[in-house]
Amino acid sequence: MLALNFEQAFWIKAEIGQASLSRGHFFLQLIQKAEDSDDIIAESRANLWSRQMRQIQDKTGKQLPLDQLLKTGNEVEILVEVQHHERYGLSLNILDLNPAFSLGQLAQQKQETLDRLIKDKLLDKNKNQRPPAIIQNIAVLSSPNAAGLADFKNQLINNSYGYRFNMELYPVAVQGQHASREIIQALKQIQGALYKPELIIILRGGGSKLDLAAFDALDLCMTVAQCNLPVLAAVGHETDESVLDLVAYDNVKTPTAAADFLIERCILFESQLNQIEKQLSIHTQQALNLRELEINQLKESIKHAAINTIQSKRFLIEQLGTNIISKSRLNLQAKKLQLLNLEKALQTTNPELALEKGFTLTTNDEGRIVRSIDQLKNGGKMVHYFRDGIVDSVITKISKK
Amino acid sequence: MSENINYEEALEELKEILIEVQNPDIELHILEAKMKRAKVLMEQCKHKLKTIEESIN
Repeated sequence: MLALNFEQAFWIKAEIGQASLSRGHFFLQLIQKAEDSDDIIAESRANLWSRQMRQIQDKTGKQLPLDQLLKTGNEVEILVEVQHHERYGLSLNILDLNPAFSLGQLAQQKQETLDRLIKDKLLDKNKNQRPPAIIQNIAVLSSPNAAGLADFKNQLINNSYGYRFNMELYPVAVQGQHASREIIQALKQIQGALYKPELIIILRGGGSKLDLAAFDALDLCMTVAQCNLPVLAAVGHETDESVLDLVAYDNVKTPTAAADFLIERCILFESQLNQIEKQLSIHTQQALNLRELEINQLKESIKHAAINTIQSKRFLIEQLGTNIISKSRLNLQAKKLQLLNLEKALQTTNPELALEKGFTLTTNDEGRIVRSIDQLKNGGKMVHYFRDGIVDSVITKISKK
Repeated sequence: MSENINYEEALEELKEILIEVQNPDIELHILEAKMKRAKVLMEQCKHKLKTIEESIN
């Protein structure tokens, strides 16, 4: 009866209360909530059969992530027909889906996530992490079979600089309904590990732009923001397309770029090291040159001072020598003068001088100089010494004074 | 000429000689001897200074 009444398919808007995927078919619980509360005022089962799903995807292109659109809490605009099954009762068959409405929903969710992160001051939290200059131990969250992971590994291992990295892979889904939960779980596991990596990379090797919805999920983005290790987002072909890109420590476009991110940090560090080495060498040489100059100057100063001292000693000793000679000369002159005076004194007592003056020297018989008449006797002989000759005489008379 | 004179001792001796040669009562032969001694000491001191100076240069 109902099916007759709703023979034509019609568009409805509803919120998904519950969604499950089984053997390629989606089974949904559609709900309608009250305007002002979370109370459910209407409820209905809806099925999206795999055949319809393929039709929808053929129409909208493979890009549409149906599993992202058809999940709990999302609103959808769907074309449904009413179906009544003898055993299963009343249900809706989903025939088509308005992707624009769903994408609008996704964009709105993304904005809500972003607003919440900004409100909670979490958007830049992971950017405040300070990984070491050289990152060598990394944890990679990726789908183990992704081509992007192989690109990343290849770029990292075969770097031409010979840098070595230790990588631990945490296999997670990077798209689809389980991605967010698995990534959150892996992040928690890494943060609780005994040996923590220096960087966590969330790697997705490609896929459609629409698959990024998982990286706009609030719980995932909050976990990344509050992660106590820096998280590098490498999930899109263009950066800043997902909230994860914005909330992560840093983001790159491709897995290859993620490897380059690590390698470039090493190159930068090494070049800084080389620069420092060069400067160290230059500064050391300059310091040595300066010291050498100082030592040479000191050497010259010491030399001059020593020569000055020697000169003054020489001057002193020469002065002393000159002094000794002059004093000795003075002393000798004094002695000469003394001798001269003595000579003069002697000259005044020289008998010859008396003889000049008319005095004579008389000796008696015994040849002694006569100083008194007592040395003479009558008839005795005397010898008189004159200036110019000698006279012998005989004493005829002696009279006393 | 002895290389191993003590410069300061030689200097002291020369100073003593300077005083002695000024003594008017000094005996002449002693004055002569002192002057000879002074000459020797002077030569030794100068030689010592010269040797050091050469070693510096």
